[in-house]
Amino acid sequence: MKKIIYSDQSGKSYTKSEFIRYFEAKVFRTIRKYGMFDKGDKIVVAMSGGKDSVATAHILNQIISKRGEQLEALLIDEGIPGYRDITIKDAKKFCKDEGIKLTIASPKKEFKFTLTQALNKLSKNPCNMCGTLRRYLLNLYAKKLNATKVATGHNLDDEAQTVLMNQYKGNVQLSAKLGPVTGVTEHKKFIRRIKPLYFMTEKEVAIYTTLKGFQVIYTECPKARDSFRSTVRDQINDLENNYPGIKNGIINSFLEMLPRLRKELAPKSKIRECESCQEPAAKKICSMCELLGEYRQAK
Amino acid sequence: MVKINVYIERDDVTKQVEISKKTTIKDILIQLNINPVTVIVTKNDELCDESEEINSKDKLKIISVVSGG
Ligand code: SF4
Repeated sequence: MKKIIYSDQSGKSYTKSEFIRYFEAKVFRTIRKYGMFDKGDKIVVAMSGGKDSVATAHILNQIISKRGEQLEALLIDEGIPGYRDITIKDAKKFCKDEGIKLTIASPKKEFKFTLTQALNKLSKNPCNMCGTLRRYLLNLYAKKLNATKVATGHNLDDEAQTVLMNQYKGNVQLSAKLGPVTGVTEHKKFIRRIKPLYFMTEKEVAIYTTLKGFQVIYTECPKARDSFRSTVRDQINDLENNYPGIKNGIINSFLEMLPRLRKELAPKSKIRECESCQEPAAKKICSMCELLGEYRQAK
Repeated sequence: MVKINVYIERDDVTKQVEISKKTTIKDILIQLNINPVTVIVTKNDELCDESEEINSKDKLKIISVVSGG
């Protein structure tokens, strides 16, 4: 059989079926190694309709359906025209084909505004605002669905970018929340996140979803192009091209430091409840309630 | 020298690239100033390795894998 795909990470060439086996085996190993979930857990996949969440859901569905259970997915529709509306169509089709129950939550339904409307009123960084909306709704709806773990599609590239972004901005304490299973401390109102694709590169995920024939668009959010993340992403990709192994290097050294970072920061990272909405918060008032307050005050 | 058309999906443009007998997909990416880490390439609608050589009849499509969102 002709070897058609080369993986920079493993340094090997594969046939189509070999690549799929390599990819899935590595994801299963990651799930086992980090004890991402066990039999009693109810997993909800954070679905965007993009390649990463589709690959995550497909692999988890193999495990969950063997248990005779139905996997559930949760999609947050922030309201980004020309982007999210396309990925929602792909997500609906994918979930229908795979027998996954899909729930769609949105700031529009919950707070009566979309991300785009909020951005028109408040001059804020789109990705920060989007992150606040998504984190809040994801946790809120995951609880409504009785989830005990939320699986996200974060891959090796995403994590390496976030580690460096935190480093560059002097926010190393934020990195304590990263890792294959997120969270420094546990809180009954905060559903822990797991990242089964943690060790797979973005390119490997794209190869996997293409070989599997999933209909996903390989495009980026229109708001992403000018973000700090995209600058860091381009920088890491240039380095990876010239010095292969850079991404793994960033993650492996980060994982070596993570236990110490968490131990150091755990006492300072207590999760409390927001005085306004009673959802988990780092401060007296959570970022979502702060944002809501600013939105309602703005003319 | 022969020229072939290469479709770049992200920008929705088709560019002409010169190829010789031993030109590989990687050579084309370098000519187009595209980082191979950020794309996958299909040849005649089949995913393929960047070390593959191409000929004048091949149909190439370059798909960006970087996401944001
Ligand atoms: S790129 Fe920014 S605005 Fe777009 S989906 Fe991602 S976080 Fe949200």
